[in-house]
Amino acid sequence: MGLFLETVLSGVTVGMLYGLLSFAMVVLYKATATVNFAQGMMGTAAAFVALTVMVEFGVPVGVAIIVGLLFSTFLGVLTFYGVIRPKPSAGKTNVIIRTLALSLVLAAFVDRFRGAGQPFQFPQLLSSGGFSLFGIQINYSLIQTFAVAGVLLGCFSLFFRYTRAGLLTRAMAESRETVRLLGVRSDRLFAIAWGVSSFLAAIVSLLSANRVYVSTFMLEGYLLYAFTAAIAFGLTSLTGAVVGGICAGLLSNVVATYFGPDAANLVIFAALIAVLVIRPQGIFGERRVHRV
Amino acid sequence: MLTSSHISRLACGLTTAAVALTLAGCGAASNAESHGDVIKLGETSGISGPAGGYGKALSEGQQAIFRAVNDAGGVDGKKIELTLLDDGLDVARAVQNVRKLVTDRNIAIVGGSGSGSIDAIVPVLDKAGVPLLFPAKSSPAFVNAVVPQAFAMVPTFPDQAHALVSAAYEKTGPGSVFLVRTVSDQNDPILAKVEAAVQNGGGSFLGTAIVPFGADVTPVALQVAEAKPDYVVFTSAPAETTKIVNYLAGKDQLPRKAILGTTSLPGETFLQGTPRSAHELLFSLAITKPPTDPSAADCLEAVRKYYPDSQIDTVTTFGCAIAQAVVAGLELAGPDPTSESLVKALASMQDRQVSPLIPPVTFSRESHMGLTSLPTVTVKDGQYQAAETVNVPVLP
Repeated sequence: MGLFLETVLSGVTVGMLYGLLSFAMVVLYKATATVNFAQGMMGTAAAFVALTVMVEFGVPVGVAIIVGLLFSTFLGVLTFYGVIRPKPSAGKTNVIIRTLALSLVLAAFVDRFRGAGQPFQFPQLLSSGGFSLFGIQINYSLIQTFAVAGVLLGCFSLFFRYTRAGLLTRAMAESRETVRLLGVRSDRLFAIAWGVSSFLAAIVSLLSANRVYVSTFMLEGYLLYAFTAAIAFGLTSLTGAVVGGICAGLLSNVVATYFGPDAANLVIFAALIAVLVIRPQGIFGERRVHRV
Repeated sequence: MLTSSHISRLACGLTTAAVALTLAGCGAASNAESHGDVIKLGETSGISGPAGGYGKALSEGQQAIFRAVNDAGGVDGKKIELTLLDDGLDVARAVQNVRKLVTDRNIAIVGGSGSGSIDAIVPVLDKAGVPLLFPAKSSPAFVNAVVPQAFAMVPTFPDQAHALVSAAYEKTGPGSVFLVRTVSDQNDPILAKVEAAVQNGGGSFLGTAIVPFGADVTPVALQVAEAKPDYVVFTSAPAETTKIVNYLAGKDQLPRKAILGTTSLPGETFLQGTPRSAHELLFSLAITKPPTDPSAADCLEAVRKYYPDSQIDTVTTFGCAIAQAVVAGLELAGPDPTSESLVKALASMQDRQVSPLIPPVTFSRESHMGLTSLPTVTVKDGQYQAAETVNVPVLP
């Protein structure tokens, strides 16, 4: 029983990270109708920046993390203005390929300058250790993940509900043309969406860096599960993204613990196929009616 | 005026000439000889990219020793010239590099990292009659099946795992064992040999888990913690091993008696990434004695002289040992070593101390795997310390 409870707890913890990453993807998709294949690498770049300032300049880990987050946010905004915004008439496929290419460029850049010696260890923000609760050992890092993810999701929930920018972003997701006709500067909203999305990816990479170590493909597994969660639970649902991420983390962890990592992949992706066949718009997704 | 048929004939002729020259080049290298005052050796290794740190440290150790030997007069008055080509662990590039090195009449290919690359270049070198000396690879397919032109140094992981458990039982008594493996074609032999060692030693085998490279280690760590073993044997990659040990240490669930590692484990990743409580439990095989051991003095001196920025670790000392073994072979091969004489010289080595960093090596016509014993290391005051030497026999 102890093993099962610990598995569930660690599964929910990693699921919160999948959920954050999935949330980031859905935020962007809802605002801009873009699926960002560079999501993982944008977060990874933040981890490398934080690591570099620590190693090269002796900056404390807390300050390095802030630098990494700022860098990632800036990278997101820069990506919008430099990669996504030009030639908008090129079409959705063209834009998706740009994000894929950006992912490869970022990976090659990281390999070029910080390739040798990977993976790199990343210090913990909180001390190691924890406490026992009902016979289950709970680490401080687990509490850290829950706290950060919970606060962020709460903040963004309030942002999308009560701020002008958040409401306009939601309006943009519902009807882009209407919002534009009302004179809203959509470019600024898109840039905000890209910045927020990249910021969230950085949060995931920095929270997981101590566990998975910093390497070019440190978020590859996370991205795959996050993307699966977003698709399965609806690319248009922020709640679905988070719930989907937690479910993916829980299911993959339990199956991997009892049946091995290959079995976890089998179950997750088989479940994805089943959901898409039965409910194509995703579990929480809204069916779109196109009127001719 | 050039017509299309002229161009076609010209193209055919040029192609034929190029093919003929290439074939002639390959044939001519089949018994490459040293010329003049130089003994030409080649190496293809991954020294760039994410896994480039290992190849870089290995080559720095090798090159430092070769340069020290050259400064002392060389081998029978001839200088060793090592041409190192980076393959970035890409198999196609490794093969391309080796073909170039063979064409350039290097009498042997030395060292090298990247399991896939090494597998790919062995048949190329075999066909060219150029020996491959001491690559960083331990595999039954490579080591036990005698490939005439290839010489290995490191026992296979299944044999290492068996020897490790047996030695641990002798040292701290029998007990329960949990095995953590990575994804590898040696997984089944590793499991079989660990189970055999446990049974022979009167212990109990609790189970095994596989942790793929780069995967989340939490499920495996949970399985190990749940099993509560006396010993955990790790044949997984150093980063994954370190993460699992760290997780166990954080939950105060380290194994009761020892953390057992094969030759891939002792390195800075484990040392820097795990707490003192884990250090006290480590008992690991190592290819060479650690840099802190007095036997590493020559190696350290050479590396510090020629590569002052090098981060010296157990991979560097392995590079030194490879170079020292190659020099020993060249000395035996005679004043004008060729590929053939070098192979004969190595195959004649019986219990020969080629390097102070490793036990004596023995090669023969039947076996081209040199080491049948390995040093072990423990950790004291945050540094690896040499412990006893353990026999690692080749088991069927």
